[in-house]
Order: sequence, then C-alpha cells, then structure tokens
Amino acid sequence: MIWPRRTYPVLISLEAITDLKQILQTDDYVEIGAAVPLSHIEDLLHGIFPSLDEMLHWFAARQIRNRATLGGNIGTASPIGDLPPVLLALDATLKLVSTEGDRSLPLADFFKGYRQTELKQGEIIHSVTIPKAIASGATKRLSQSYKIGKRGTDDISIVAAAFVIDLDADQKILHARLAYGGVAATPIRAIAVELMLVGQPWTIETVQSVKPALREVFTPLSDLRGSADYRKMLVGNLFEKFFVEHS
Amino acid sequence: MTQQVNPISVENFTFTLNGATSRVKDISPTTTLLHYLRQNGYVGTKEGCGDGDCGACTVTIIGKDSHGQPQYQAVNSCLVPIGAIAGREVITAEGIANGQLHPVQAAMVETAGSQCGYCTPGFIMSMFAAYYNGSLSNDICIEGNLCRCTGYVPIRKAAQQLAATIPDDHFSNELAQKTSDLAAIAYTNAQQQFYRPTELSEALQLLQQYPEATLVAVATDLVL
Repeated sequence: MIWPRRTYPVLISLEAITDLKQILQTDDYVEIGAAVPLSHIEDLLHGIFPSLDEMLHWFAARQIRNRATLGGNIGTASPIGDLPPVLLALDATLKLVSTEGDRSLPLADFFKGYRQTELKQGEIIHSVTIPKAIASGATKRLSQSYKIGKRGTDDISIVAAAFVIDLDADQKILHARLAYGGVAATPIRAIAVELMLVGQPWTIETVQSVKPALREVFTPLSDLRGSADYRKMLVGNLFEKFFVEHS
Repeated sequence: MTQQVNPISVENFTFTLNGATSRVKDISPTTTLLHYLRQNGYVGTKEGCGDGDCGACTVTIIGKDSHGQPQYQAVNSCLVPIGAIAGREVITAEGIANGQLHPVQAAMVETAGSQCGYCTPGFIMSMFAAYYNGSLSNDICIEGNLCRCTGYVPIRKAAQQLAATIPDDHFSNELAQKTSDLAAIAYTNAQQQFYRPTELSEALQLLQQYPEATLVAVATDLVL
C-alpha cells in the first residue's frame, strides 16, 4: 500500500491543455497562458519586465520552475506567493473562462482573503495579461522586485516586494505601484502610499517622507520566519533600497 | 442541461521508466512519483525534505523546451502526483549508466563529488538534464540540490568539466524522436478520479460535472 499525502475525490489537471500554454506578445502587452511553465517564461520573456526576471530567478529552483505555472501561483492564493506582488505592481489582469463565457479581472481585485479568490465555481484561470505601456506623459519606468527569505535560494519569502515608478522628464512621479507579499492575508498593494507618491519628485526626501506611512499600512503577523515588526521595517526599507538602486 | 463529458475512465495507465513500460494501477493518483519509485524498488531516488526544497528526489522527465522541442528536464519527484506521469518518460539514476558510468557519474567520481551519497542521485539527475540541454556551465542547473557533507566545490567542478562536451550517445540521439505531447487521461482508483484533458472545453465541462473538483496545473503546491 502506498499512501498519498492528501486525497482529493476529483482532480482536474490543466497541464495538457494547449490553449493554456500559449504566450502572446504584442507591442502593447504580453499574455501568458496560465499553464505555461515558469522556465518557459524565463526563456521567452527575458528582458521585457525586469521585476519579473528578477523574481523568477528567486522563485524556487530549476526543478520546480520546470513544472510550476503562473496560473497555479495565482490560483493557490498564498499570501506569500512570489509572483503576485510582481504582477500586481505591473497592473496585470486575468482572463477567466467558464462555460458561460470569458471575463477579465484586474489581479488586484482577484484576492479576497486568505486563500480566497474571486474565481467562481466552474471558472478556470486562462491567462495573465501584462501591459507594456508606461503612464501617459511619463518618459521613464523604474521597476524591480525583491525577495527576503531566511536563505538566498530555495526558500519561502518573509516579505516579497515589487515596485513600479513612472517618471516624467522632470523626475516627477506620475504613477506608483508598491505591492507586497507576506504582510497581509493576501498579496496586496500599498494604495494609500501610492497616492501619496503621485505628483512628488523622485528624491530620497520623498521616499523618507512616506516610510512612516509604509511601516503602518499593513498589519503583518509574527511567525517563525520573522516578527511583525521586522516585516513592517522591510516594507519601508525595501522601497528605500529600490530608490537607492534606481536614482 | 450540462452536457456530460464521460471521458473513458481507466483503472490503469502506463509510463516509461528507464526505457521500460511501467503500469500503474490500484494506487491513488496523488501518490507521489517519489513514493511510487521507491515502493517499486527504484530506491536510488532519495527522499530528503519531501517538500521540493532539497533536490534529493530529482529525476529527469522528457518535457518540452520553450520552443516546443523535446527536452530532458529535472523535476522533484516528491512534487509530482503519479497521475501526472501518465504517458510520460521518466529517467532515474538507475537508468543512465550503459555498461559504464554515464559521463556525469564519472565526473562526480573523478572530482570526489560524493561523500555520504544521499544527495548524489539528485545531483546526478539535475546534471544529466543539464548535460543534454547544454546548461552545465550555469550553476542554476544545480541550484535546487542541497549537499550537506562534501560541499559544492567538487560537485561544481564535475559539472564544469563536462560543460563544453557535446553529448553524442543514445540519450542525445533518441531525444529528437521522443514525443513529449501529453494525451488525455481519466484515471480512477477506488477513491479518486484524476482527469487530464487536452481541450479547454473538456476541462470546463468536467468542472460542470464535478463542481467540487480541485483544479491543478501540475500540483507542485497541492501534493505538499
């Protein structure tokens, strides 16, 4: 007798569905099928979204990236999934399909609570669309992602963060996205702080002025990986690190 | 009314294990490939963490590269439900020596890359896949394998000394003829059903038929 770890009465694997394994690239966006293995995304989309490239490098190891998928990492709705913060910061949208038809949903509206999502009974995540355009009037986009874990590779994150800042020619912030994992029941954006940043100059003074708000915007838990205080500190400090690396 | 799909349920399926046909029946589709191998005497594949962290259970499967061509791929057998292996080809550490050690095994012996030996089959299978993919020069090919005694320097040296070799053996020569296309499967044992449709419409209809079904892509998370 061989015991399985967990049993499920009915399992439906989406691994063999060609429709879910396509990557479509246009001038305006990239659409990634929910069942594309991460190692294919690494290969085919390298150089388009720096924050995605960076996080894929830290996302588990080669063996897992050969199997794991974007749709799976989103659908499992872990608060510390590595890719959702990256995709939130990039304003990704999901295409959900069912026998009733298709619908499109911003990823930001997908996560409802701990391991709970907007996916309705009968729906499947079809693909993830990431827009390429930067904000209207912007001349430059800065973006990066960070993963803090107990060790560099092969570990669950304590906090993961992804940032997108669009600047105009005068270095004024036109668009800001600060997204985090490991700080709430779901992957989440610091929307209040994003709003504070828009219109401000991209300077260390601006970054430091929002750090107190960033520290308080989430109420993370303490667990064996890190205390709530440590996580709050990371939320602010990772954004400052991003500034230091991109100014 | 929802149209019933009624895919033909089977109580057994086959996959290729080290070149021979292996028939799976009477076991849960969520039994891991690792446990299946070990229960069937393929104990070269080790269980370390059982969690996808350590790489001791690494085996090679034939999958597709990003351009759709057949490719040897290292995977953690502890994170693969056996149902997902239906119709696939799996290669373990027992299956790569051909009268003499495989080049990656010989290199590990030569550089003294194995001490207690527990992590070695996993390293070997990661290096085996990388040998045929031409990615041995990149440490990423062994980033998912942990060693706690010899240290990484001799293992890395083994990988590096083969990095420039262009493989020319039956594994490299037969790869182009391999199919990595997956057929539909509907495997049933006494308690569970495992469906792997090939059409989106089939998957959606299965979901209508079994509203409580659990959807997985490849189940790296779910089998934990």
